[in-house]
Amino acid sequence: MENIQINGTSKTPDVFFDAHTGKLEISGRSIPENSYQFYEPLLTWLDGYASTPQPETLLVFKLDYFNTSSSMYILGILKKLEKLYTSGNKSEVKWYYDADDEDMLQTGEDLKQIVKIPIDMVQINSEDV
Amino acid sequence: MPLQKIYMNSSSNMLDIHRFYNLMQEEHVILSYQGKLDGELIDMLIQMTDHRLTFTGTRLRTKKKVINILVEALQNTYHYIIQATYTEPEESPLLKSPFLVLAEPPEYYAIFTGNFITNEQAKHLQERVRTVKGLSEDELQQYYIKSLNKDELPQQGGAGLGLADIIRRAKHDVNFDFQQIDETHTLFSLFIKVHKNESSPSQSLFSSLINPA
Repeated sequence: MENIQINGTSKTPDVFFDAHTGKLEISGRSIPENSYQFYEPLLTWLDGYASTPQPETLLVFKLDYFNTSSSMYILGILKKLEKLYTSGNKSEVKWYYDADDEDMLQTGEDLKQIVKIPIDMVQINSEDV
Repeated sequence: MPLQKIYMNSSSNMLDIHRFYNLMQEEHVILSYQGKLDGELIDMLIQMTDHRLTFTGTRLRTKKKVINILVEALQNTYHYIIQATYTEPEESPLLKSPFLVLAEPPEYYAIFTGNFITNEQAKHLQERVRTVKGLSEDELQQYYIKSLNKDELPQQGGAGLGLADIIRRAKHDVNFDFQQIDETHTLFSLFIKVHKNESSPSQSLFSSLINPA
């Protein structure tokens, strides 16, 4: 299975889904007008990955900004991973948020309420980055 | 003095330009835009705002709220423009009407956006605004999670989540206004305040336009 590597733009995030290590990372800005166009291929890739997953899968979100339509697709990705997790595959999610970004923390908490997969909230301080 | 008059007089009298400058100063305007809007323009407006707020040392949490709210408000406007392109001629006021004013009085950022929509759209939107605006903080949280957790993912826009998101991020300091302009059009506008220090209530010149005393 091929990896997905997408370089970010001012509207879309960096994506690196590594089928060989099981590390899937989305970072940067996700504010496209058409989230469907951007995220649908990622959801399709995850369906393929779920048929032959690695023993451990780590999904990492390091987002600066995202719009509401992206948040629905982020939830869509989490639901794909939730299926993997509930069928017995070891899976973990890390949700990075800046110490001064209460809205990013809130969204992480919202997502935790919806999906059963454990989400680790990781606080960072952008001044240290 | 109306802006149009200032503009028309400006070629003959530099003092009027000064008045125009003073007006922007008095209203603390840091960015304004009016006219056609597309994805690229939205991107530029966001980037300009981001740069300006970073440049002036705005606190990260405030900057992120302003940018996120701006994205939702402008993309909501764009959503109506896309709909209008299917039915309206190129010169339609529905396509040319969007505007944005970003102001920075001492205690908060003021985001003022607006655009023409059809009276029919206004009816539905007004209903939705009434529902979302009337929710308590806890109810809004539940509404947000319920709207987010839909089985079908949207192929266009955020499926109505944008308004709830704006209200939530601005901690309810949002005013909506609907002014019917003629038998076809309504001017829909949004006025949002993002407080730099959330415990300090304040008055705004812009809010008095929407909520006259």
